[in-house]
Amino acid sequence: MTGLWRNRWGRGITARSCRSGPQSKFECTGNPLNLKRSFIVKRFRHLTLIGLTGLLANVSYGGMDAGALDQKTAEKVHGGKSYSPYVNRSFPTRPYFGDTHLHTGFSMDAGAFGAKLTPRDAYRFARGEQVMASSGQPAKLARPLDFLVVSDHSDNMGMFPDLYAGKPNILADPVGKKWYQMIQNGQGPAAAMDLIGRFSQGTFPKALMYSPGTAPYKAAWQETIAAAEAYNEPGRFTAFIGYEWTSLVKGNNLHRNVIFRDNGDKASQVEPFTVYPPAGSDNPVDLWKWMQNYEDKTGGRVLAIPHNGNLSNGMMFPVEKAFGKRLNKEYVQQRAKWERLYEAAQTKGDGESHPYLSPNDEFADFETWDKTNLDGSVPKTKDMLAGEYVRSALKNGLKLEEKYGTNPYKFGMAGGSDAHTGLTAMEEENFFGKTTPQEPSPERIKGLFVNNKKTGVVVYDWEVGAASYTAVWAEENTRAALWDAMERKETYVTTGPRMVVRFFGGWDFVAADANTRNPADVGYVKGVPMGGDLQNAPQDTAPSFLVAALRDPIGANLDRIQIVKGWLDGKGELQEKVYDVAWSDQRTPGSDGKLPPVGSTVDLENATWTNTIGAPELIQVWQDPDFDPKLRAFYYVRVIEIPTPRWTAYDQKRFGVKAPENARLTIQERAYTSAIWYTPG
Amino acid sequence: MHPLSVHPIFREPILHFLLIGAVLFGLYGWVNPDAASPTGEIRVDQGRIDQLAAQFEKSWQRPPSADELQQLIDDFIVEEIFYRQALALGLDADDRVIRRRLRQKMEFLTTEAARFYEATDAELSAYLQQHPDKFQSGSQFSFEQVFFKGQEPQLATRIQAAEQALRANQPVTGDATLLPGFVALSPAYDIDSWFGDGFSAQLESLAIDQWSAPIQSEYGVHLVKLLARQAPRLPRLAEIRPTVEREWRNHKNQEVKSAMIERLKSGYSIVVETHAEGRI
Repeated sequence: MTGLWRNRWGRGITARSCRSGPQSKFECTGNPLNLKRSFIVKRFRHLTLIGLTGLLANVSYGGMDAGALDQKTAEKVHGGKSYSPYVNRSFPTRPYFGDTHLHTGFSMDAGAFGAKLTPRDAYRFARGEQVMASSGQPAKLARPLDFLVVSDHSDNMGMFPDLYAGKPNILADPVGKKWYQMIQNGQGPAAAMDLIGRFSQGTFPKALMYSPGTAPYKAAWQETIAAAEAYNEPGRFTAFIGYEWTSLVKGNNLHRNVIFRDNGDKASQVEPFTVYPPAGSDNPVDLWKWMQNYEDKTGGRVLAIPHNGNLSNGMMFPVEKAFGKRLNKEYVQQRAKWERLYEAAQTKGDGESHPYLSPNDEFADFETWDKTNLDGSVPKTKDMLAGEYVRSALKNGLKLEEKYGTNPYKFGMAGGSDAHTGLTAMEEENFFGKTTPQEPSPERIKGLFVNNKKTGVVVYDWEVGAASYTAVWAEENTRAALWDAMERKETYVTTGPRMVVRFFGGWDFVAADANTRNPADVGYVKGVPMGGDLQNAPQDTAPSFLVAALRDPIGANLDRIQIVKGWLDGKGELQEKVYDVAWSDQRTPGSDGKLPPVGSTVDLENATWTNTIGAPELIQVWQDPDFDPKLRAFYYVRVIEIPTPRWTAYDQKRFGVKAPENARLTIQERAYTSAIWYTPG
Repeated sequence: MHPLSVHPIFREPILHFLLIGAVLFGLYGWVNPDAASPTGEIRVDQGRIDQLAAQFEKSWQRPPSADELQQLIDDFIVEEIFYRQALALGLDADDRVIRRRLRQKMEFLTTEAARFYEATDAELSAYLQQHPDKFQSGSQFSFEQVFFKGQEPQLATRIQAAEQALRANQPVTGDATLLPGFVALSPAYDIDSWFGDGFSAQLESLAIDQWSAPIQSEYGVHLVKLLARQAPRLPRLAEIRPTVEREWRNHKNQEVKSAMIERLKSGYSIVVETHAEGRI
């Protein structure tokens, strides 16, 4: 197992700071400080370029940032002396927010619902531009996102690259030859008008109208790639190339989004893997083969993000059999290798926990969708739930690791909207729905999303959630840096707000670490970040964790930070416990150990709230009080906001409508970080 | 309630279409035996087989085996039969999915037509000058900051002490925060996404290289030393050519699309019939 992980790491290591010591299993080849020129360095170069050369010489640096960061730590973090302590800093200093899962009108189902927006529109919107929604109303984000994956379906190829290349079959046609020559002679516009004319008069040459599969129009996949290439702007906005592999087995959702680290030169060498035989397969094992083939052929990199286990009727996270075959070493290794992240929240329900699986967790029942599988064809039964949710999968992964030597469910946290509108608008007060009919209107609050007459399963449009986004701790905003951070799972999911969340685990964090000027400095020096591993506990030492959260600058205050622990006990039973580790308003836990609720300032009638309760920022060091060094465990963070109006409340106010009686009108938005795993030696 | 809500949204519509088509085909044939008789020949020539194999290879990164190729051919024949019969039965008419798909293909074509236009420097320069708002970079700032939070009056006292220390070039410890202590040259919107709306506006008036008076953010109070400020400017074409070309092409796409629609419209006589009350 270790070999496998190291291999995967070895390839992505340049984007990571090197750490050593017993607490870290990651090894480092080469010196990343040399390998990698940070974005900051580039920006400083830019400074000098714009004529501020005097700046560097003049800045007096003595009074600046010595803070509580001692010299030895500073040297370790900053890699020795230089003008600025930040120049060679090789760890991520900010999270980048984006959506790893968005459909446009290119997806046939989205098109069927009336979505007309293209991938280009989707990227423009995510970058912060105003676009016209398919429902004919203008849409704009409050703030730009940092990245987006358009994850549509695929097909076909185009004639035009052939035309430009002057392929023989094109030149053999008189019209094709004429256009080719016109383009060569700089008469492109005239050729374009001729093309339009012929098309409208039905005199478009049949020879250029390639048969299906090689159509004359630019195909969806090639156009998807072209759109991502056009809007990818390193340092400002990352447009990932990706697609959704839409496996649906008897109505059970096994979808995966495939995300490329690479540019169009590599991605365009292949076509997306499909689900219908004989060209495709609905078994994830075959998708992983496709991924391996892609990497072997192109030297590129891909990863997959599954989603909506809650609609898989127990199939998402199998523990015994998958597709009729017993799990085996090969299965668990391949899954761990390719499925680095899991989409833990989206419009069709939250996937972190379920109240039936976690009866002692009063926050487990959040935006729950547990009536059925995806199409409403088979109602849910309780025995299915353990195969559907993040927390139970993380737990089962420990057991499978003991059995097979690899943990197949050692995934990090991602968030995507799965909107089918081309609009990743997932804020409660700016929610553009999941499908085009759910774009803002007075009617949408009463709509029906699933209405299966046979099974009687009904899901209302108000149950659709305004969620979610992925936050990625990367060194810079590029495809490579963001993808590498996803691969190493230094990610968290938020249900919409852009809160900043840090989480480090190690063996020697002390309370004072929470008071340092910049907690990340000490976090990276003493520990591993979210997504990392701890091994071989030192004698009589329990792991300690540095955790911090900052609210969204235009969002709501924080209620609390929790650490969720799961472990495999000495009897082979899986256990879980939720610890409150930092909270607002100086509350005292009750005799049952539970922290009282934070209260609510929500004014439903006006759809407002105030930040008079909660805390803007929470920082804490926490040590596991129940640690046993012989037992496998994981720890992840859940940050919870104070209550705010849900999108349904904004709709009530803005459209003057009344939501159905049982509709949820408030929400406590949250973030879940990737876990840190402990493995005994 | 929207019309499609009876259907689960994620099931592949084309599958529905095929299944329903198959059922209708059977019914139709049963009621009207002559109609379902085979029509014409289905020829799978070498070109088609090569194409099926090439498509397989694009997905799987390897050529199909003999068995797989046979499957592909069999599958193609079934698809072709369904396709022809569906057309014969008129199943393509009034199908929203098919109509939208065909419309989308037409739109791809206009995008392609726009590619005939060459992006010359002169053309792009003119576009850049005509649309400065699209390309103007906003103010950018680089700064250091020390953060303070807490209750008055202690807060004011601590900040005063910190200001004195900074003037004397002494190290200062602010409160712990996830907010960055140093911000490299960054656009205003980026800074506001950390510190909250309006924070960057407060940097406009600061003197370079001096610690500021206390500045309020969403989170608390900051002492800021502005290191650099870059005024808004319109970059030269050479600096942002790909961006300008993208925007220009986007504009051209719209133009070509409008031209195509107008041209197509001119070939039709379009009549919109409204009800007596005048409602559409």
